Amino acid sequence: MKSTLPERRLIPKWRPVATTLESPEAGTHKAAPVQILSGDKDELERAIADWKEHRTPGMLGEVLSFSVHPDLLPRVLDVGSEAVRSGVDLTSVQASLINDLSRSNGESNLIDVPPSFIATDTHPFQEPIRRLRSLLRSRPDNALALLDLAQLQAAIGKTGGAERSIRMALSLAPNNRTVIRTAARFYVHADKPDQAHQLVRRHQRTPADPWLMASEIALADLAGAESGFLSKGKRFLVEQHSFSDAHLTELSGAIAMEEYRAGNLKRARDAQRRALLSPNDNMIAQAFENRARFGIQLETPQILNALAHSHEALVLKAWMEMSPDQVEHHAQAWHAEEPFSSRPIQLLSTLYLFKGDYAMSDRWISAGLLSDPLDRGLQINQAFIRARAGQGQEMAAILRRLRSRHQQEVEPYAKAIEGLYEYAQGRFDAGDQLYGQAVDQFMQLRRPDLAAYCQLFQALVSSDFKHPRETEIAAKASAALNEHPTFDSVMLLTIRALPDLQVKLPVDQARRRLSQLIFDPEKNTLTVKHGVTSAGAKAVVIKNSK
Amino acid sequence: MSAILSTPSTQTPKHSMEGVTLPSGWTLVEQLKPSSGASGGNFGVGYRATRGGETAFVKVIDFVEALGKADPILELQNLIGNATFEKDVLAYCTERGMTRVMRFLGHEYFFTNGPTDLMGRVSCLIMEAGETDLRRLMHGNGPASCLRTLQVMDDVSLALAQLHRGGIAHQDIKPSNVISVAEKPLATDRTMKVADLGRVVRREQAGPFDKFAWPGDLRYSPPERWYGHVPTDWCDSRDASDAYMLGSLLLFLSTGIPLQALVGPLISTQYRPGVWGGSFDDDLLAVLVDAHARVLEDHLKPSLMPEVADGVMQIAKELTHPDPMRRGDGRARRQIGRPVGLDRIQQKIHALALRAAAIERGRLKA
Repeated sequence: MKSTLPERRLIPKWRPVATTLESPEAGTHKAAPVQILSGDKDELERAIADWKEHRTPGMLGEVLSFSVHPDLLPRVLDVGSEAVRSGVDLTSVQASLINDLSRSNGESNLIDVPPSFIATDTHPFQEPIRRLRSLLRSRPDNALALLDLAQLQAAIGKTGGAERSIRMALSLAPNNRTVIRTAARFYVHADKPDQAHQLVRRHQRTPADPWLMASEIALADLAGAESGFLSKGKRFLVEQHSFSDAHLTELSGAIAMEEYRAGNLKRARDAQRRALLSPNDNMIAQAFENRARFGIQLETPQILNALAHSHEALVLKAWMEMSPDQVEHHAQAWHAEEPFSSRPIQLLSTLYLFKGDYAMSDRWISAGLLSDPLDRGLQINQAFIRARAGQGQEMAAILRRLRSRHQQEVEPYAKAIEGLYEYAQGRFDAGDQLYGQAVDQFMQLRRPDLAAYCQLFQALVSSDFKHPRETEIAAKASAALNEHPTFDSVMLLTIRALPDLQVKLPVDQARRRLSQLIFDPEKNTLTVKHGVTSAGAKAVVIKNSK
Repeated sequence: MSAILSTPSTQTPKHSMEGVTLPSGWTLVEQLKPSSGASGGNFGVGYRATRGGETAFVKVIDFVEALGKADPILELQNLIGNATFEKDVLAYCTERGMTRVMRFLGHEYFFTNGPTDLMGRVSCLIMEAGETDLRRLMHGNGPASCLRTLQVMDDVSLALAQLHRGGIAHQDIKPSNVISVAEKPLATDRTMKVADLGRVVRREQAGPFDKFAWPGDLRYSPPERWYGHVPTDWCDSRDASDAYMLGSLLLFLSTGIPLQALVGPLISTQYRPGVWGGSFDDDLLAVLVDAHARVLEDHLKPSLMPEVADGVMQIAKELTHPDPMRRGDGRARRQIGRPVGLDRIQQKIHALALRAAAIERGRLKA
């Protein structure tokens, strides 16, 4: 059977720098300057007249120099388009800039643009790494390029090189929020959560920065340490009014999780509500993961907008909605965004494993193990594939590695996989015994859902390998699943479409709203009441006149 | 010719000087049309003047327009202050033997309607005439070749080094202010000089533009000024600005576009000037360093002669560092007083230009 994903925490996401720079977490809470840098229209017209008279690339360059003023850009583009279309002397860089500006202004290509690089037989990261190295050779003090390089290094398993890149970026821009958060995320990837926590906790910027405070709280939880900013963060939410909701989303979300763990459900929901007022992609993924815990409806326009920009959340949503094609699409997009992360690869390998496409699943597992050779979930999936293929030695080697590192947690999975191997060899009694032990161990760990999931796998493989008692095994699995259904089980059954095994997820509980509309018929007014409602509350309430 | 020119709303004595011969013998033969790229102010009219076989540029100002303004005393004060400052700077540069700065030839007053009409009196600033500016010279096969680029850079960097040695920061280096002083195409040997000293700031002497947030053209200003950041140290705020504009000129010569226009689209929206509300800090600087690095790598590097590419890229990197405190020659900046070291950079450019010329000659022979 395949593993389940580890618990998700609100640790910073490590996207390509260009993506992060467009998100609020890289921005400032301070208002834009009032003074607008407007250009001189008369001066531009004189430059255009000069260009029309002389038609030299130099004069065109003078016209293009006005593109730094957004208010003059449309006029500059008019002239630029004319220059490209009329075939006058212009440099390739001028043509390219005119085309880029034109495209960013919502217009089509003015020149033939060569297709972007598509990896074929080379490693997919080879070309971007080569480009980043070249960029860094010219300017080694480019901290952001170092972060991108580190991400790709981590993706191909060069953790040492990635760490050097991260350290260099930190020394070049020690107070840059993106660099600090990325470094912390890297240390989590490198299995050094303590170092990640200490970096953020001790940083001089953290006490005044809600993004860093949020990271500190989440990292403290991961490192098993006490957060130094939980109380300060709560005070910060109350006292700081200059920060917009977008800048407080992760801090509120991290506090919500801590309140939930402390058993303060009402406070947890209030904090979660605040986090969801203007969530980012990280927060929305976290909210989807913990949907059942908070019982909050995720349907406000802000939430849906954030959801549309979070491939991770869309994968989770697609998984819950039993939409394997959507899972595949968004998981691949998520992997492209965070190529070092094993979470999207775990989902993809599991999806292909469910589909019975073991070769594809194995390819993704290999890619994921390149980045993190010790990833527990991927190794479990790999052992499953080896066992199914009857490759006993390889399976045993993987399970040995897993047992040496995660004895307790991995044992029931290992037993189930060994059971599968026995089935594959036609030794059904031995297989039954091992599956039975796996189910017992899951029950001992108080995970009846995993025990049922294990029985489902047993039923499927017993059918695949023509087990003489496959009907009996299927009936047992069906009973267990009806009692403890999970999204994974239902997804597997959806993909395999087995008529004998039917399971239904319990009806979704009534959820709470983040706000309600109150209609006052006397005053004929409609007002918004903010705050988490009771479960199943209506969207609009008509105010009672008495 | 780039000059301090304006389109007048009314005709005043400074507009009717064509054909006039000054007491020094200069005859103003042609009034020059207002040109784009002029940023020296709105108070002068330019003329081409001849004397024998010589040609000069004469900037004429009068006091009539100022008297018609709402606060004539203040206007006159500004006008006289600016004109005197420019004249003094030009004279100082010529006196100090600054060979790559347009020469000061003289200054005189002239009565357009005879000595009794004081309102008809004009001030004439006579200076060396250039042929044309860099924008018009760049034609034919597009951007100048690497050799020609280095030759122009050699001249302009020498001009700036000379100005900096004299305690002057130009603050408005741009293609329209780089003038060819020989009537030859850019392809052959010629001298380029820096013109338009109307907006300079002087280290040892107060000037009319000292308190301006940015005295020059914003299109060509260094990135710190886009965000309203003015370093406190002279070298960081003034000499380093000139260095950046010199670097931008290198991009203009190599690609046909100044650096600022190439960097702008690479800055993510929330960091753009006018949008970014934060300070000129680590968050912003990292973004600017990345954008500049990409421009140099993607646009400058491919245009360079491979034999000198590393040297030119190093110079471009030093000149265009977005952090004004780190801009300039690395060794010079570690010295006492942290000078930007354009003199050192000029020497490096000169050496590269000689090398490029030797390589080019070798290629021609082959």
